[in-house]
Amino acid sequence: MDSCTQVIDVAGGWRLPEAFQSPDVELQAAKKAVVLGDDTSRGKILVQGEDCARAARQAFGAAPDAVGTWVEAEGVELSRLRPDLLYCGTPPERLSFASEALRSAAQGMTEPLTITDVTHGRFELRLLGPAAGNLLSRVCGLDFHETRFAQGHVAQTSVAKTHQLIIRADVANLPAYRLIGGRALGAYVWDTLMEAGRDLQLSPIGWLGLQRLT
Amino acid sequence: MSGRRIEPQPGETIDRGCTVRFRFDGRQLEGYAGDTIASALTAAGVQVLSRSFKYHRPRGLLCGAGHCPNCLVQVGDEPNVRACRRPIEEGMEVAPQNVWPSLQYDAMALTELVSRFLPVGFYYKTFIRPAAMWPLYEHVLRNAAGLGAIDETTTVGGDFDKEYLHADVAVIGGGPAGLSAAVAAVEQGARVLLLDENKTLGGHLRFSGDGDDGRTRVGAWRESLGKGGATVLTQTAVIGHYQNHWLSAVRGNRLYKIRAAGVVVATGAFEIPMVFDGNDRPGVLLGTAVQRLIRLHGVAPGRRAVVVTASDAGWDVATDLVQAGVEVAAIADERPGQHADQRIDTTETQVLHGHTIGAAHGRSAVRAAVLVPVDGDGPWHTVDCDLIAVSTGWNPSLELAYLAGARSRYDEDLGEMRLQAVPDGLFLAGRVAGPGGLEDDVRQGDDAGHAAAEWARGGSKETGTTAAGQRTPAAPTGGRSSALVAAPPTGHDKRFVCYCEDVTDVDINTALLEGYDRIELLKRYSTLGMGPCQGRMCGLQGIRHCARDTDTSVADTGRTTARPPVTPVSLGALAGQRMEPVYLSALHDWHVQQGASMMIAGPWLRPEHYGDPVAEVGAVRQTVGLIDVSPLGKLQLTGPGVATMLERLYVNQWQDLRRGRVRYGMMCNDEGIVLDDGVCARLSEEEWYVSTTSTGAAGALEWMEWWRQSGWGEGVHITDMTETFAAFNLAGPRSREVLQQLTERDLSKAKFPYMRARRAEVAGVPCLLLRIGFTGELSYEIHCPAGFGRYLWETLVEAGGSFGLRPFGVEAQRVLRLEKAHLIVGQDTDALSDPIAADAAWAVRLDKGDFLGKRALTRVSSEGPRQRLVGFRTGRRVDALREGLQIVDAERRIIGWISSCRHSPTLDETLGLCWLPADMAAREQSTFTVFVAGRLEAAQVHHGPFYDPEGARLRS
Repeated sequence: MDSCTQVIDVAGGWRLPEAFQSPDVELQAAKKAVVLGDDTSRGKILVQGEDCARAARQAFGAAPDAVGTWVEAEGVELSRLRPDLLYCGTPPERLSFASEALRSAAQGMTEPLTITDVTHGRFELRLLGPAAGNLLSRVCGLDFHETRFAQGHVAQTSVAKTHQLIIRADVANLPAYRLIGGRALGAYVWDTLMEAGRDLQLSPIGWLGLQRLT
Repeated sequence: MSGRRIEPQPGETIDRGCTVRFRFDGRQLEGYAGDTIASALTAAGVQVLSRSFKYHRPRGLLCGAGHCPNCLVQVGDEPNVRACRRPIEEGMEVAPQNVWPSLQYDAMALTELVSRFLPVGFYYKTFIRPAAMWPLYEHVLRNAAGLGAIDETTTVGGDFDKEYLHADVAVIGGGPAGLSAAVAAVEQGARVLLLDENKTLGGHLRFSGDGDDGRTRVGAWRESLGKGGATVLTQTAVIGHYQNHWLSAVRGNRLYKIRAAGVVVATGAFEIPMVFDGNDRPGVLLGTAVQRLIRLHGVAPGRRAVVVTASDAGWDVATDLVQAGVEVAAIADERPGQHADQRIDTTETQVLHGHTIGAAHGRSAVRAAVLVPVDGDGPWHTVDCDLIAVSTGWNPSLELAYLAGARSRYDEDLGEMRLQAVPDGLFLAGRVAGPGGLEDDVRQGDDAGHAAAEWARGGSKETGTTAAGQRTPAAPTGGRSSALVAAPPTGHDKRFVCYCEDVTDVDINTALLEGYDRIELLKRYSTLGMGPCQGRMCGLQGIRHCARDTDTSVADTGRTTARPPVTPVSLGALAGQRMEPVYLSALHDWHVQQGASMMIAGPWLRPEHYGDPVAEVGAVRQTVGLIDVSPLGKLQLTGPGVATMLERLYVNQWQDLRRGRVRYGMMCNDEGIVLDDGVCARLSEEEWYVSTTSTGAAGALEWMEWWRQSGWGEGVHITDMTETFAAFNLAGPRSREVLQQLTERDLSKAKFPYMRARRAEVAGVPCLLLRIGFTGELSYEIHCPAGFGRYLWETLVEAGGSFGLRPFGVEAQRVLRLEKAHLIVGQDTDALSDPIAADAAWAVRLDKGDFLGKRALTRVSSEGPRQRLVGFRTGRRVDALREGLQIVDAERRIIGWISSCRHSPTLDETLGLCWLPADMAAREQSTFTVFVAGRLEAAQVHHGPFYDPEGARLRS
C-alpha cells in the first residue's frame, strides 16, 4: 500500500488502497494491458466434507458439479476444489450471510462437514486485462489459453513457486483472474507479479477502480 | 560505407536508409540497421574478430549461422556474443575476446611457438606435480581459462525471466519444411507454435535458390499461419527436449518452457568445415556464410575467391559471388569428371575437378589457397585469393531428435547421420531427415504437420509418421557431403578439427595412440566438442578421424551423447526471474520499523532481536515481554475421529484430554524418530487446535494429511490455519496484568490455570488464548485473526508500556527456553533422535494402543538409548563454547556434540544441551570436555531445567 494515494476502509474492518493513480487511468490500463489489484478483503470460506456441494446447494441454490469449476449463487462464488472440498468467495459484506447459510445447511447433513473462515489466512489478488493470461504464464505452468482455462475454471497450482488458487472470473469483457494464496506470501507474490509484468505495462489498480470494473 | 557493400539485394534484411554507428576494438564504425555485428564488420573490411582459445590464433567469421566459436565477441559487459547473430545497435561497444594486450598483438599467441610442447592432455599430465605448486598453477590457469569477461559490479540478473507456452503442435525450424508443417497443422485445427532461431522465417530460402519464388512462398505460409492463429517466435533457440515433449527455448533473456502434444523437428542441416592446413584463417568461410553475407546483408566477403566444394552447393556459392562482383579465381570440385555450370564463365574461373583444398596461406587474412588433387596424384595449384568459400560437408541438425530419444546411424553413401527410429509424437521433416530438394522438404513438412496434428488429437502416429526411411532418397544434389575425412596434408599449418578448443587432427591421433580410442573417451581427453559449438562444427569430423585412425567404420564408432542445452545459453536465462518466496508475518512492517534485526527461520523472516537481546531476556524474566510467534504451525482438526487419529500420530495420550485443556505432544515416524512437536488444545468434543514447530509446519501438515487419507482419519478434516491466525506470546511475571486490561475474561490462576485454552475477546478482537510457556514464565499465547494482528500487537505494546513491556526476538527466546532446558526439534534432534534419547521419555505412552514409532520405542525403552540429550553447565562464562562443537574423551575421540549453547544472562553462566553417551549423561555433574579449536573446555552434566526447576513461575 506504500505507493497508493489513499487508503479506504471497507466492510469487515479492512483497509485497502483506494487508488494508485486516478481510477480512470487505472481503468484504461485494465482495458489496454493488465492491472493488479488487492482484493484481500473478500470473504473466504472452506467447506470440507463429502456433503460440501449438497450443503452449498441447500444454502445458495447452486453448487459446481465438476472439480475445477465454479459457479456464482446469491453473490457467493463457489469453487469445487475436490469432490469433498469447496471454496466460497464472497464480497466482504456477504461473508456473514454465507457463513451462516452454510452452517445452517450443515445441520441437515449426514456426513461430517467442516466450515472454516479463512478470510484472514489468504490474500486475494486480481489480475485483469488482455495481457493477464500472458503475465500468468510467466509465473505459472498452467495453460491459460481460452480453450483450456476459460471463464468458470478454477485450479490449484504453483504460482511463482507458491501454492495458489486461480479462478478465472472475467469482468467487463476483460479476461480476469483471482489469485488466492497464503497471506504471509502476499507481499512476495505481489512484488513478483509486478516485476514479471513490467514489459506488459502492468500497473496496480485500487479498490475504487476494481469496484467500477466489477 | 565500405567498398565491400554491394548493390541492394532482393531479399536483404538491412535498411540502407538507416545508418548505425558502433565501436569495435576502439574503432568507430558504421553499418545499417539490420546488419549483424559480423556483417557490419565484414562490410567495413574487418576480418579478425577474436583470437582462438588455446593458441590465440586470429579468427574471423566462419559459419555465419551462430554455430562456430570464431566470431565470439564481448558486447559491453556481455561476453561470448555471436557476432553473426547479434544485430548492431547505435552506440554499441564491441570488443574482441581472448586477446591481450590487443587483437593485433596478442602476447599469448606465443603459445603457438611452443605448441609442440603442449600436446593434447598436456594439462592433465603437467599440473599435478609438485603438489605444492598447484595454487600457482591454479592462479595462472584460471586467468588463462574461459572466454570473455563479466563485470560483477554491473551485471544484474533482474532482466531475465521465464514463460510457459503450450501447444498442440510445436514446430522447430522456420524453413520450408517447418513452415509447411506448421501450416498443415494449423489447417487441421491444431494450436501451433513455430520456433525459429533466425530473425526472419524461410530458412535457407532466405539466402539460396530462387529468391523471389522462395520469398513468395514464405509470405504465403506466414499469411496462413497468421490466419490460423499460430504463435510464431523468431530469434528463439530451442535448447532442450525432455520427457513428454517438454521443450526449453531461449529468446533473448527469456527462457520458455514449452509443453506440446506433438513436435515437428525441422531443424535442417548445417554446413561443417573441412580439415585442411590453416583451415581457421580469417577469410576461410563456409559457403552458406558467404551466401548470407551477400544476400541478407549486401556484403561481398572478399574480392578474389576460391570455392571448394563436393557438390552443386559450391557452384551456387560461386554463382552468388560472381553476381556480387567478386572474382572467382578457382573452383575445386572434389567430384571427378567434367561437371560444369553455365552460370560460371570457365574462361574467367579455373575449374579443377577431382581437387580439393590442401592449405590456406596467410595469417590474419587469407592470401592464397593451395588446391591439391584428391587422390594426391598430380601438381598442386597455388591460387592468390582473399576468400576461400568451403562448401564440402553437411550435418543434419539432429541434436533435439537425439534428446527426444531418436536413434541414428552413419550413412556411408551420404556421408552423414541418418535417423533410424524416432519416439512417439516426434516427427521430422526437411533436410534434417536427409538430403533432398525444396519440393521434398515442403511435401514432407506437410505430411509431418498433418501427422503431428493427428497425434495431438490422440490419433495414431502411423497415420503420418515422418521419419527416416520415408524421405524420398534424394538425388545427389544440393548438400551432399564430402567423402574425405580430411584434405591431403601439405605440411604448411595446423589442421583444426575443433575450433572451440583448438584441437587438431594431430591431437586426435595422439590421443588415440595414448589409448583413448573410444569416441566418448576421445572427447573427454581431447575436449573435442566441449566448447561453445557443442560439437556442431567438429562432432562428425572427430568421429570420422576416430574411425579412420582406429580402422573402424564411422557407423560402428558411434557418436557422443547429446545433452541439453544444445546451444550455449546464459546462466541468467536458466535462472530466470528471482523468485524466492519468503513468508512475512502480519507484523513484519512493525518489526522493521522498530529496527529489528531480521533473520531467516525456515521459510519465514523473523525478528532475531530488537537491538539488545540480553535486555529482552531480562524483561521477560523480570517484567513482561512480547514475541511474534505467528510462524508457528497452526492446524484445525475437526471431526469425531480426531482424538483417535492423534493417538496414532503422537507418542502422547489424547483420548483423556478434556475440553479447554492443552497438552504438549511429540510426533514420531514409524521408526520412532522425532518429527515435530507442539501443543494440542481440545476446544470442543470434535474440534482441536494443534500447533507445530515454525519450520516443520508444512511437513507436519503433509504427514497428518497423508495418514488421514490413508484411512486413519475417518471423518477428520484438517485445515491449515498457520497464516489465518497471527500469534504472540506475552510472557513474564506481569503478563497477566497487562492482558487483563484488555479482556473481560478472568485470567486468574483459578479460572485460567496453566495448560488451558480459552476463547476471549482481547481489545475487541476474537482470540484464542493458550496458557503455555516455552520461556518458563507465566505467559499467554494469543492467537487472533491475522488481519487484526498488528492492531492487537500495538494495543498490547501500549498496554504493557507502564509495566516495562519489551518486544523480544528469536535470540532471546532461544536463551529463555535453554534456561528451561527445552529442546527444539531439528536443532537438538536429528534424523536419528528418538524421544527417549531426547529426554522426553515422559511424553511417551507405551501403554496405549498402537501409534507410529511404538515398536521402535518399545525396543529403545527396554534396551536403553546409547546416547542421550542432556543439559550441561560451565559455572562461568565461556564464549568459546558453540553449538556444533564436539565432545571428546581422554584420547580425544569424539563421544558427543553440543546441540544448543548460550550464555544465560539470568544465571550468568554458559549452559546448553548436548548429546553424550547414555552412561555419562545419566551421572549428574559428571565432567566432560569439549574440543574447542585445539584446546579443551570442561563442562558438567546437568539434569532438568537450569532455571525455576519446579516450574513455579510458569504455573503462577
